[in-house]
Amino acid sequence: MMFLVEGKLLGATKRQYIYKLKAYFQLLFNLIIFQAVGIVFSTVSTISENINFVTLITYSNTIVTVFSFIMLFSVGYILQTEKYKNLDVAVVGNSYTSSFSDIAYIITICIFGGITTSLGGVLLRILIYFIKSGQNIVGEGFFIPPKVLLIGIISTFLYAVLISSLGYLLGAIAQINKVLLLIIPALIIGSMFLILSNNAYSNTVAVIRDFYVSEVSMVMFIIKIFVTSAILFSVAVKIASNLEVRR
Amino acid sequence: MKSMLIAAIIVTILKFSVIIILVFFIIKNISKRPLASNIKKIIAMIYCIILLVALLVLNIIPNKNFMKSDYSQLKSNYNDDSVLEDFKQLILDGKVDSSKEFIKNGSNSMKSKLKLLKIVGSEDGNAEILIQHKNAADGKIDITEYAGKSILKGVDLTNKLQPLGVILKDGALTIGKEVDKEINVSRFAYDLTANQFINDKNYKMDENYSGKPYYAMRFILIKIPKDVQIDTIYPNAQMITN
Repeated sequence: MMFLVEGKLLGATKRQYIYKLKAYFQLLFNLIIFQAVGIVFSTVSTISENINFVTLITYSNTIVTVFSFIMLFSVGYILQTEKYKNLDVAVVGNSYTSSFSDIAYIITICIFGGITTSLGGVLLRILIYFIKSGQNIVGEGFFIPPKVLLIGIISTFLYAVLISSLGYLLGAIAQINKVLLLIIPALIIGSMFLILSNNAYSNTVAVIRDFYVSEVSMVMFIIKIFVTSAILFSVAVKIASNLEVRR
Repeated sequence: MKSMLIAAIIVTILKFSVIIILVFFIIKNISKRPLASNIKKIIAMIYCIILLVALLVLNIIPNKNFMKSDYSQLKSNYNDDSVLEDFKQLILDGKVDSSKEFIKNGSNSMKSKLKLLKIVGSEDGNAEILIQHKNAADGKIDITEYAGKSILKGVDLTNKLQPLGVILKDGALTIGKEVDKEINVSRFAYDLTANQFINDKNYKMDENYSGKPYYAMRFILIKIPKDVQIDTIYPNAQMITN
């Protein structure tokens, strides 16, 4: 009986996931637009250091990464909105299948985001190479060793999962009360400023940041992200199921 | 300092906000006149193909024309005096032209009947001037410029140094100033998210390095006829004798 229920849950989740892959194509398209704009900005937005007669220009795909994270956070957030939840009724399921398929969709788009963000950095290199006619470019950093590229893809994917799971949770919280729609962005921006200020709270925020950013072991990082995202997703699923009862 | 940092952060946030608003504006406009689903799929596919082609192109670009990094010089305390001594020794041994440490980047020869030669130039002392008497009184001044190891934040600029240029004017040898021609050097950072997992010491050099960010060594060797005397107030000029 238990297997039957699990089988049905899995089947319904799979159907909803496949449906969402097609129905939410606009979200993936938006991610592509964000990345493309990010790549264009990255060609002009650089760090320049001028010493004597030499200007050292450092290019990076940080803008592409930030844009991708903003978009993936938004994906997590808006999947909890009523508009997107109402789309679920097209495929038979319940609040759990809806949430699980959302999570599967988020992970899928994060994989896509991780790969394309890192490859965006490759495209940036090629664009600059042709713009500069291959002149005065430092070889180290231009050529990306396969291992570094792979690390870039995996780490971007992991950060993307963390950020979008946070977005998914905040999206669920925002559905509880509309006032939270204003409070949550204020909290996010406030925490960014807290890191700069020098008080007890800023240390707490810095500790949380360093918990992820200072981790040098990929295995430990994967575990940290997996556990954190699992907690964030679980809380979001629980909130969403409670909201479903209220609806 | 802190207020400057906060101001910089605010400016950065504002810049990003403008960009984000622009992106939203673009997306909103796209939504007003929605593209057909098929066109979106084609655009997405083209985007993916472009990324894959870029990866392919990156792997077939020959790496021989690229500039090199050298962080080893920054690690050790690069000593100006010892480099100058090495250079002098190479001149005395007649091996400077075959040396790999010093690159010849310009030479000039000029006729002069002057018996007392003045050397003037920038007080910045941006080059070491070495003067050597020739064995003959041939009435010619031979000038050769060399570039020593020159590094900007780990980027090796030795081959990029421009000759200063030396001219004979009003009975004096005038050393040119640092070049007017600016060089733009481009370098690339790895993925922001990958930084914490990369143990490449070279790559992290910028973070760890706290010494001189720019280092350039220029040498000008002036060979004068045997019968010419030097009258100089140029700070970095010195005679070398066997």
